[in-house]
Amino acid sequence: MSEATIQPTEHAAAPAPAAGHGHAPAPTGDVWGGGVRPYGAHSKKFGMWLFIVSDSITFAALLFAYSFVRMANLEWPTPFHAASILKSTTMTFVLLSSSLTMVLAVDRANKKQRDKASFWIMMTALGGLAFVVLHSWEWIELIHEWVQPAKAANGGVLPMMWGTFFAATGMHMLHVTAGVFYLVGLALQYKGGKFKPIDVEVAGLYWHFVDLVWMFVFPLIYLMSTKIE
Amino acid sequence: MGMVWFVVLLAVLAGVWLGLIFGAAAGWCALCAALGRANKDIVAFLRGEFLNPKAPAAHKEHGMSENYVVWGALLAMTLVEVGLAYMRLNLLVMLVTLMGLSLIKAALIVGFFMHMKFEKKSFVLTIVPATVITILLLDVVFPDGLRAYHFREERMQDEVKSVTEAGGEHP
Repeated sequence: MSEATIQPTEHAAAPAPAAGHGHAPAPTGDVWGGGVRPYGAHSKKFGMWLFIVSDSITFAALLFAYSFVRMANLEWPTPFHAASILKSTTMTFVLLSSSLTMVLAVDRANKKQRDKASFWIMMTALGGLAFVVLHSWEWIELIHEWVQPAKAANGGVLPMMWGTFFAATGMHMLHVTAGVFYLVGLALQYKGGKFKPIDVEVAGLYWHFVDLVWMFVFPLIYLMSTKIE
Repeated sequence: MGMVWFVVLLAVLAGVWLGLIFGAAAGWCALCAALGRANKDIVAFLRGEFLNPKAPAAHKEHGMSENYVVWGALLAMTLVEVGLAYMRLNLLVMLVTLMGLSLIKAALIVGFFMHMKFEKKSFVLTIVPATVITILLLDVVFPDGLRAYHFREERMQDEVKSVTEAGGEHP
């Protein structure tokens, strides 16, 4: 994105606040008449929010499907023993903390500190990577001790929760993995002088959203199915 | 005698557990107080000024300290959630509590981390209500899922009947 395409929209906001008292941009009523910025936000930010709206409905559909299948079945497995919960709780802490480092990255970017912003974006990506590693480990153990494909081949029936569990967590994993690539790419290029603070902010929106989704996946799928001996 | 020790052990475990949670919460509060500023924001939050209509635009100046507070609150709430999972609660009670906490966490993430608290009202109203309503509307399929529960109740009554008819033996 060149300077020329961004600058005009950046400055279009300038005439809006009347003497900086924080009133609506145009008291005459043509806020929505075009030519001004009724949202007072960068177009990229609004675009990312539109993506988040559609993505949140996708995740909601997956979680509602999971809840429906669980309601509609008389037996439901509770396979998540203490080691599993320990791992998923650690994953939650890692993801929440990576959100904090992303906030720090946006803060430094807005203060025009490119190196520091880049560093914090990298730390965020590292948190995402840790999440992916822990979750893969968790998946592999679950596949070994609970899903048991060999048994399924004999009995012909896969254990309950196979589909909904891997659909919901897999979709989330996909988002985290994509986010790690997004953040690493951004950090490297941002350090090299490319992009603007708004681009870091938009990446932050995506990352916080991935965090937010996990705040629903974790209790609904893990905590509601703990194995208590 | 064994029972007494069991109760003592349970009490100690509960104490440690509660201590960890409240200790973490108290630690964070102390940190917040030390960092200053945060207090004002929490008061504003409690007063319901979540969507601050006076916020002029995206770049209202605000400190980093409130983000640390939010982070601490999110971690603490996660700990509470994990604790709840081990408390053998009724499934419905647990679902409602967990989802309630998750909604608070989501609101904190959207409001502070994702800056929604500092956006213009027009922006918030364009994005939030439609999304929330659409997601809540997905609820309408749930009545169909309840069929299995009615079925289970009938089956259990049948089993009780067959057990009594067979003279107390398990079918």
